[in-house]
Amino acid sequence: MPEWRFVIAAYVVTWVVLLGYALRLARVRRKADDLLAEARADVSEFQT
Amino acid sequence: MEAAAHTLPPTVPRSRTLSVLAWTWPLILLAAQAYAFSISPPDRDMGHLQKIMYVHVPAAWNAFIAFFIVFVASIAYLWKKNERHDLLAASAAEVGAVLTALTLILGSIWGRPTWGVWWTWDPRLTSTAVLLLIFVGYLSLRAFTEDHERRARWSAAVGILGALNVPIVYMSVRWWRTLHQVQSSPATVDPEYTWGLRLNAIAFLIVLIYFVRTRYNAARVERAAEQRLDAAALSGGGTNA
Repeated sequence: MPEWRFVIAAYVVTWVVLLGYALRLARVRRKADDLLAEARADVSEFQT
Repeated sequence: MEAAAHTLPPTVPRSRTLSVLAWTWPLILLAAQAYAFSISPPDRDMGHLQKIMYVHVPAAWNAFIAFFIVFVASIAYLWKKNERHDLLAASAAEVGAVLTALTLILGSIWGRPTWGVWWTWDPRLTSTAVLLLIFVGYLSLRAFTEDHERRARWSAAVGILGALNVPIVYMSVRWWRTLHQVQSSPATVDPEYTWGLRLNAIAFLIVLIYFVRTRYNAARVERAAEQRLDAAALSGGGTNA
């Protein structure tokens, strides 16, 4: 049935977009963690 | 300065609920979609294409919810000048833009077999595209404005104006003669599809909450770390001067 092609395409697109954004969020989180580590090291260095 | 170092968390905070949601949102969404597929018979006119409703409509509703958060948080920022409100608005705007883009793509996939075209300048489609463009502009504005206070003030203004477009998008199918059908809701769809639609809307809402909260937590930590680095640089820290 040709209509199923569109249904499958819609669900595939949905999952690609949502999982893609979840992966982007994981990268943003890691970047924030790195920045945090940098800030902590910078402040600690200043204290010494 | 010692206190300053200790006030920074070791990593981006994540509550227990958020940690659980990180793994469960795909399962919840998958379960809601499986349920909707299992209970909904083919539509008289559209056949199985009706099943696209379970992703297209919840994506649109939740984009509207995200922009409502932008609206409230932006007003709160202009009123209280609390940076947390600005970061919440920015986080919700990003997620709202993703969901609006998804809504447009899904609408296009649904439109091709039902209307015969991938895209038409219908008021509903056009106003949704304008909504997306406004929030892409909002995110670009934030990316290119260095001064934090100015960035927050300008984006609050754009966020409020952008969110005011939501009622226009929602009502466009009633105000103008459009190709797009009237709003899909449990009140307007066949009772056989109601629970599938409700459950998928709730599943998308859980996804929205997880995305916005995770983005907001990361944004707050980024901002705190930036402020600390700026303060250290201004007072000669980092270079040990």
